[in-house]
Amino acid sequence: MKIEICHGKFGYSNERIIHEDISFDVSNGQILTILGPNGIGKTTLLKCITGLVPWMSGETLVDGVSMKKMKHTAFWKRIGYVPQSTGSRFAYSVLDMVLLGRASHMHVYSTPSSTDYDIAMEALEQVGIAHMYKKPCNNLSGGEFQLVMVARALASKPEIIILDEPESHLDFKNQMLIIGMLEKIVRDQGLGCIVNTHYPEHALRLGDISLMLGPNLPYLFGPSKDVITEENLSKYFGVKVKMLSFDYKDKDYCSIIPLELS
Amino acid sequence: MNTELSVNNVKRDFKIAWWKKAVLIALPLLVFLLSFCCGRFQVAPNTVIEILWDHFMGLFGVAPTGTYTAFQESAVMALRFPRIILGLLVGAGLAISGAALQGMFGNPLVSPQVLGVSSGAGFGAALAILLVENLFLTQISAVIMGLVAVAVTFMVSKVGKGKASIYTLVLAGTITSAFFEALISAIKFTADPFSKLPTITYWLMGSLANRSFADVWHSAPLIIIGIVVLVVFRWRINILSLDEDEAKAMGVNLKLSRLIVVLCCSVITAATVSVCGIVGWIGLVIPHICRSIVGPNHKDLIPACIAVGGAYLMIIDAIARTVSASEIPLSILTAIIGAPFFAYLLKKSGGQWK
Repeated sequence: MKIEICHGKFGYSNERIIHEDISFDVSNGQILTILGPNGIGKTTLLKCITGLVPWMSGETLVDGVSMKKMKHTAFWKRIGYVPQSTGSRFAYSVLDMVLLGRASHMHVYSTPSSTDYDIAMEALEQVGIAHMYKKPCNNLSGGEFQLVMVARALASKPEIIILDEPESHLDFKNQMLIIGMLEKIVRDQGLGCIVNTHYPEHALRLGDISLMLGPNLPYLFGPSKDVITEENLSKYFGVKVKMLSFDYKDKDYCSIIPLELS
Repeated sequence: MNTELSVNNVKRDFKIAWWKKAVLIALPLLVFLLSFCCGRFQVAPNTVIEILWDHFMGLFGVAPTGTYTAFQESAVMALRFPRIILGLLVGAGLAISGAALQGMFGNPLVSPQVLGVSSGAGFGAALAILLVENLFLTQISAVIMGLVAVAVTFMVSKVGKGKASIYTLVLAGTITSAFFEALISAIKFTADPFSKLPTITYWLMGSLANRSFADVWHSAPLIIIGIVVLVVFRWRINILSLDEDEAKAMGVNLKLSRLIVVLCCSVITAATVSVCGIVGWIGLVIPHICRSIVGPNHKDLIPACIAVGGAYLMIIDAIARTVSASEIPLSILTAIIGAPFFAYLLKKSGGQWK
């Protein structure tokens, strides 16, 4: 499956254009990371891609078919969306919450079947928290709840999963947990993945392709290594940085150290 | 998948315990039967069962066999049967609407009054009492004005930027309520203080006194349709309680789903006000009680509300007709019993409705 953005344009009014003529694409097995400073419209971009907010012009294509021509349910069967976590208003159990992800596969008047329970448990195992299935959602830590939301998106068996800053507000360990889990589901199941992130290091680690947005600057799209450079980071984020790379267990890692405002 | 977490085990963990189910089924049945005994004129339980049995068998043309007086028979069948049925339906309907709206708004302090339906229907009833003296017309007027009120709420909520969010809906409901409450006051102000005013006032406090089978036929179909649709739709209410974008991302048609819930709750509430006036507190308190019994999942919560809500109003109505020579309005009792209980829940849960 391939999701393509063709000449996407979005703004709150003609005077306040947020995104001007953006085009890019993501396919199965690829991870696209979206980087940019606060308030540049990363979340809005994800909402436009998924049609939660309509493009002013341009469109989203799924395997060459315009999203506007697809049925709502048919689209959401193939796309999983994990918004920024706001917590749960009711004390639904973890499994009940993940089961909600099955809705696009169920009749309006039905309740989850054994198969749905099966798939929801499988999704919880994929993110590694199957043992917590009985816990109430509002007793979870931020990292755990984030994993529940990912499991809920996986429960609809999507081909592409879209995550909005899944690792912000989390400590080191939970960040690694989320990043590791994303790498694993993309590798094991060949899912496509679009992630907003505040951390260029995570973008480099997740690899593949990146999209960088900046104030009054043209967007950059390409292989992560080409997009995330010292020069681009200082230009797009306004922070002078130094990138240091090293090997650990035969893998390349890169550390990005902010030096001063540029 | 490891064996401990096999699907059957997991599903079993999520089943409601059998004794809870048994209690939830037995409770309304027991209350239903026992409330026939209660009233100014008491009837023994075995006599009640004989009368009900004879009437049931009478449907199949079997001759009555019980030994009871004609007075007992008419007390049970003509006086109490309609109001007990209505108590069950109104209680179940208000509780289920409360649960559905609390779920949809993701706010446990919401009650069926929130959309302005009750005030609208109350206004419709008061207006009809003022202008004509006909119970049937009063009921029709109440239902129509209740639905008009919810339509007004929807229109007001769209006045802003054209995007009706869930919060503007609550705000619009408050505005509509205030408006119709004022109209009710205006009617009370103009009504004859010796004949019409007391009738209107008693109506607005809620009562099931002197209701007949005709009243059941006028209101029951609407209430039952609303209840059935919400029961069928119950699992989806979980999704409506999520954030707007999250719910959409589950592949749900959010507008349509919300409309279904609002429409069902409005029809139920308007129908209940039309038949027995405004009965407060049930839609607010019963869902909380049920949440503490079966948990927050609307799949189980909605059916539990039918049982507990129905039983609660049947008990309240039995008290209303038993404890004093004149009938006590229902809203007085639901609040006198409901408010302290709500305070107890608040204390116990520390304000967090888990």
